[in-house]
Amino acid sequence: MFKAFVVLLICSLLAGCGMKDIDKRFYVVTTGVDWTGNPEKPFRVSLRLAITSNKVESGSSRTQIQTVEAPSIAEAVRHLKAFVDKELDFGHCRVFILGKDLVANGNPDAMSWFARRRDIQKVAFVGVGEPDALSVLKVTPESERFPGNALFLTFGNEGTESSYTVTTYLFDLTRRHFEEGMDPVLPVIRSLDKTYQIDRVLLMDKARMRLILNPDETQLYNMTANEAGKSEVKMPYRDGRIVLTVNQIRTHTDIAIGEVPLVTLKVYMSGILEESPPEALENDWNGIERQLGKRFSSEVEDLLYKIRDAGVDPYGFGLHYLATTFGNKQDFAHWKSVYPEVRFKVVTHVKITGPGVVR
Amino acid sequence: MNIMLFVPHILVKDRFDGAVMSLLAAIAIGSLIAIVNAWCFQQFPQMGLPEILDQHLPKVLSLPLIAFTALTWMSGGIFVVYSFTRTMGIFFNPEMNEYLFLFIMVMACLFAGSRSSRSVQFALEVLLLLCAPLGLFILFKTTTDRLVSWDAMRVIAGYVRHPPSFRSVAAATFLFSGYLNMQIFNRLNPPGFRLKHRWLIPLLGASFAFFTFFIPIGFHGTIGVDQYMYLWSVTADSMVLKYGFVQRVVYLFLLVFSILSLMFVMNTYHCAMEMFKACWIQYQAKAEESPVPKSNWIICAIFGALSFAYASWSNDQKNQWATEWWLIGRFCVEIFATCITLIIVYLARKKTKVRAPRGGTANYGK
Amino acid sequence: MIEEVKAKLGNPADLTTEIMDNGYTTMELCFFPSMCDSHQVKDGILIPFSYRFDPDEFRRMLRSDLDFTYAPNQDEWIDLLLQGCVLLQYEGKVYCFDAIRKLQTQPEDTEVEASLQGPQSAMTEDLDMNTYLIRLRYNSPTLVIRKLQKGEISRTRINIIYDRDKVNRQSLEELEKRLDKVKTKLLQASGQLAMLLGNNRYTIFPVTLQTERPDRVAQFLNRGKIGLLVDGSRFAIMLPVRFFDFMHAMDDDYEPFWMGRVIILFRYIGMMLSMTLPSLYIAVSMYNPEFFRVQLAFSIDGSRAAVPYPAFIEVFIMLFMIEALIEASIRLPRFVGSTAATVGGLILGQAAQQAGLVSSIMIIVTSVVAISNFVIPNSSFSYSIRALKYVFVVTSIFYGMVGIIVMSFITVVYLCNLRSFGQPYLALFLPNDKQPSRRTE
Repeated sequence: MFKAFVVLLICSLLAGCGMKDIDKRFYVVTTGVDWTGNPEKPFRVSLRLAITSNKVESGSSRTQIQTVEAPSIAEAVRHLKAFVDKELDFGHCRVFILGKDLVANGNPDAMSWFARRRDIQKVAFVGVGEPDALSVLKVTPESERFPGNALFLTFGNEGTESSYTVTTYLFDLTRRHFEEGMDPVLPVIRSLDKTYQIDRVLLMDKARMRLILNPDETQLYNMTANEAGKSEVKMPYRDGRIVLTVNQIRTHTDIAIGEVPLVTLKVYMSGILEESPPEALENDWNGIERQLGKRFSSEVEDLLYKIRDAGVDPYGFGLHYLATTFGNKQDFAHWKSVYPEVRFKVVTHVKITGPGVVR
Repeated sequence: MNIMLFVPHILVKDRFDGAVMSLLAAIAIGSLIAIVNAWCFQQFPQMGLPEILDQHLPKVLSLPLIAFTALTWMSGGIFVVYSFTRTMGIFFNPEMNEYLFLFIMVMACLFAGSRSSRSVQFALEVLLLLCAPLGLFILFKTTTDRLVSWDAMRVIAGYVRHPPSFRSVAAATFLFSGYLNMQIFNRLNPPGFRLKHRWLIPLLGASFAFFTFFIPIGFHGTIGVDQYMYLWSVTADSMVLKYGFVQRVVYLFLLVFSILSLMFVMNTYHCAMEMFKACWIQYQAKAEESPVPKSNWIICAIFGALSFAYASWSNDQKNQWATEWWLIGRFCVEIFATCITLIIVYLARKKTKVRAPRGGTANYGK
Repeated sequence: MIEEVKAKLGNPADLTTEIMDNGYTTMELCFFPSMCDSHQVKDGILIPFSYRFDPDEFRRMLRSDLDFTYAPNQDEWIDLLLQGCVLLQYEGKVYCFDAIRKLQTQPEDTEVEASLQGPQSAMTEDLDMNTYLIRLRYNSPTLVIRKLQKGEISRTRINIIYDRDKVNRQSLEELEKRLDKVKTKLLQASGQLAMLLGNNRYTIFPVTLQTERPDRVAQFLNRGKIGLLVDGSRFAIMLPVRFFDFMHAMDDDYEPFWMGRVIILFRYIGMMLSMTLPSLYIAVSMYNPEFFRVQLAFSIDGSRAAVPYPAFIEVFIMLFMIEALIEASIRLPRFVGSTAATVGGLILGQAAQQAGLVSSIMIIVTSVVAISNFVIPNSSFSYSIRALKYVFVVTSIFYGMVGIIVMSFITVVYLCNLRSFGQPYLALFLPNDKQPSRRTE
C-alpha cells in the first residue's frame, strides 16, 4: 500500500497538467447565436461571461460580452478564446439563446455542437432571442446576484413559476428534433430595458420556425402540454369577470383510430376562484364550473387547429398515435398524410375547490 | 452488475430490429443459466471452478478450460477499464492525458484485485451497499422525471414482434452474469450454503434490463437516442436536482458508475488471477491469505500492462467492436460452461450418492 | 542479609536498613521507603514487633499472614525489594512483606472518552485497581486473567483478560504468538504495546482499540474479545476490533435507540467530511468547477479571486495551521491552550482571509474538517483519518474528482483487506461458519 502510494506520487508528479484554477476560468453563463445573413460567416456567436466578485449582493453581478462572427460555432468559440484573458468554461453555461433569424432560416445541423460538447449540460435551457440573441444577452437585470442567475431562476422554476414560461432543455430540443411525431418548442425571450419578457412560445418543424403563439395561447399550450399549474382560466361572467387559479391540471390524450384520427384531449383541473362577482359561486357552483370548462375547451380547440394548420406537432400526437397503435414506419407515413385533417375534441372538467378566503 | 457500458448501446442499435424480443429471450435464458449454475455450485461447497474441474476431469481437459475462462475474465476487465477511462476522461478531465488516467485506474484495480478472495468479497459487499442508495435514487429520479416520454418507450415496445438478434441476446444476458462470481467465491461458501431468494434473479435482472434499455429511449426519443456515444451518462445528464448541492445528476451517476466499474474490474482481475494461479501445478486454493503473495502482484501487474497495451491499440470505435465480440464470445462460453458443470454434477452425483445440503443460513449480498 | 542486599544494590542512599531490637529479640529490616506504604509497614510489622510483642504470635503471624511470604532464595531478594516489598530477617529466616505503595486507590474520572450519562469512572494507572474494576463489571466465573511481564528494564506487568467461553480462540493464539515476539526494553504505555502487537509499522489504521472505560472493556469481553491491561497505563487494549467499533461511543448504548443511530450516522458523515473535504475543495476549484451548482461555484470563484496561488497550496497552508493548532492545544497546559485556540482560530483565520492569503470558503472547509475530526470517538482512529486526509489531498491535486473516487475505493478495499488478529476488519456479513466457538450477537 505504502509503496504503491510512493510510486503513484512519483508518476503523478510527471502529470501536473490538465488543471486550471477556478479563478483562472471565465464562466460562460449565456451563449447566444445569431444569423448574420452573410454566407461566408453565417453565425454570430456571443458569450456572456461572468465576472465574479467577493461580495454578493443584489445588482452586483457584472458580466462581459464578447462577440465574433464565424462560419461555425466551434470556430467562433476557438476564436473567442483569443479575446479573453482566462480559459473559457462552458460547464456552467445553462442558457443558450438562438436568434430569431437563425431559427427562421438557419441550418439546424450546425447546432450539433451543443449536443456534442461534453462540458455542456444537457439540462441547459434553450430559448429564442427576439429581436436577436445579442440584445437579450445585453440585458442586465437589477436583481441579479450572480451573473446570469436571473435566467437560471426563471427557467429552472426555482424562482418564479410562471405559466407563461415554457422551459425547454437542450436534450429535449435534440430529442424533438429527431423524433418522429413530435416537434421542437422554444420559448421566446424578449429583451426589455432591465428585464426579460418570456411569455411567448415558438413552434418549429424539424428545420425552422413555423409559428409564434401569443401570451394567452402560450399559457393554454403550457397548461395542456406541460400540465403547468399556477395558471389561470378566466371568462366574463354577467357584468364582472371570473378568474380561476388552477392549482392542479391533468391531461389525457386519446386518439381514436380511423381513416381520419380523432384526437380527444381530456383536461382535469382544479383550483380556487381568485376573482368573481360577489356571491356568484354560492348561487351557481356547478354552472360556473361547466361554463369555465366549456370556454376553456373551445379556446384549446382553436389553438390546436391553429397549430395543426401550421403543420407542426409540439404535443407529440404523432408519437402518441404510434404508441397506441404500436405502429411502424407505414403507420407514421399514414399519420403524416392525414395530419392536416385531424380533428380535435377537448373535454374539460373543472373543479372549483373553493372561493378563496372570502365568500 | 456493470451494465451501463456496452449493453444499452448494442440494444439501442437494434431497437427497431428485435431488441425487445432479445431482451425477453435474454431474461429467460439468463435467469435459467444463472439458476442452474447456482444450483450446480451448491453441490460443491467450498470449491471454486478450478477445483471442481480438477477433481472431475483429466488434467488435459481441465487446464485449457480454466485458462480459457481466465482469459474471458481478464479481457472483460481490460475492456471495462478502458471504456471507464474514456468516460471519466471525457466527463471529468478532458484535457488530461489518457494514460495517466488509466494509470491510476490500473493501480487501484491492481491493488484491489490482488487481495485475497475473502477481502475482495467483503469489499464487494461494502461497496455495493454504499452504492445502492445512490443508484436507487438515480433510478427513482429517472422514472419520475416529468420529461420522460412514455410514448417513445411504448413505440419501441411495439417492435416486440421482430425476432431477436443473436448479438442483442448475447449482450442482454450479460446482465445475468453475476452468478459467474461463484466460480471463485464459491470457495467461501460453507457446506450447506443455499442461495436464498433465487426467484429474485429473474425479477431483478428483468427490471434492470428494462431500465437500461427503455430509460434512455424515454429521454432521447426513438430516433435521437442513437446518436450518443455514452448513452447512460448523457441520459443522467438530462436530469436536474433542483434543490441538490450537486445540481447535475450526471455527477452522481458517474460517482456510482465509477465505483461499480472499479468493483467490476477488481472482480475480474481477481477471478482471472485465481484461475491463472490454478493452472500452476503446485497450487492450493486459499480464501484467506495474509500477507498477499508476490504471485498475486505479478499476475495482476501483467493484467495492468495488458490494459495499457489495449489502450494504446484501441479507440472508441475499435473498443466498441471488441466489446461486442467479447459479449458474444462470453455468451457462448457461458452456455458451454453451464453444460460442462451440469455434466460434472451428474457424474459426481452418480459417484457419491446424493449429499443433501440442508439448512445453511448465510446469505451473501450477491 | 543486610550486607548481601547492600552489596548487590551498591548501597543506594534511599534504601533503609535497620537492625531492630525490642528488648527480647532482634530483626533485620530493609526496604525502599519511597516504594512502600509506611502506614502498612508500621501496622504490619512495627506494631506487632514493638508495642505488642509476643514471640509466639509474631511467629504465627509471619507464617500465616497473607502479606508475608517466606523468601529463602537470595537471588529473589533484589527483585522483591525493587517491586516495593519489605524484607525482614527474623530468627534467621527471611520473609518479605507486601507493602507496595498504591498511588491510586479510587477509580478516576473519564478524561478522553467522556460520556454524558454513562458511568463516569475510568481506569487508573494501577493494574490491580483496573483488574478490580473489570472484575466488578464483568462478574462472571468464566473471566480468565493471565499474568505476564514484558520489558527488560521496566518489567511491566500485563494482564490478559478474556472470557474463556466466549473468546475467539483463533485471535487468542495469534495474540500469544505476537506477544512472544515482543521484545522491548521499556514498556511504558499501552499504546506502545498496541503498536508492537500491530500488523506492521506502516498500517494506517489501528488494529487494536484503546479505551479507558471499564464498561467498554466489559462490553467487549462479552463479545468474545480479549483485553490487555498494562500496569502504569490507564488504557486497556482491546482486540480483535472491527472498523465499526471505532465509531461507536459508549453513550450510544445508553441513549434511546433512534437518537443513538442518528448520532452514529452523523459520526460517519463527519468522518467522510473530514477525510474528503479538503480534497473536494481542490478538485472542485482546480478540475471540476461544474460539479457543484452554479451559485456555489461562483461564490468559490469570487472568494478565491484575491488568492495569489493555486488552491492546493492554500489547502496545505490551512491544513498545516490547523494541525499545528491542534498539536499546540494538546501539548500546552490547559489555561494557555484556550488562548492558543483563540489566537489561531479566530484572529489568524480572519486576518488571513482579509489579507487575501486564503479564501473564506477555505476557512470554512478547514474548520469543518477540524470539527468533524473531533466527532470520531476514538483518538487513534481520528489520527488515522487525519493522516489519510493528506493522501486524498495529494491524489486530488493530480487527478481531481476521479482521484477522490478512486482513493475512496482503494480505502474501502484496504480496510476490507486488513485483519485484526485474524478477524476481518471491515465486513458486513460475517460468515459464522469458520469459528464455531464464536457467538455473535
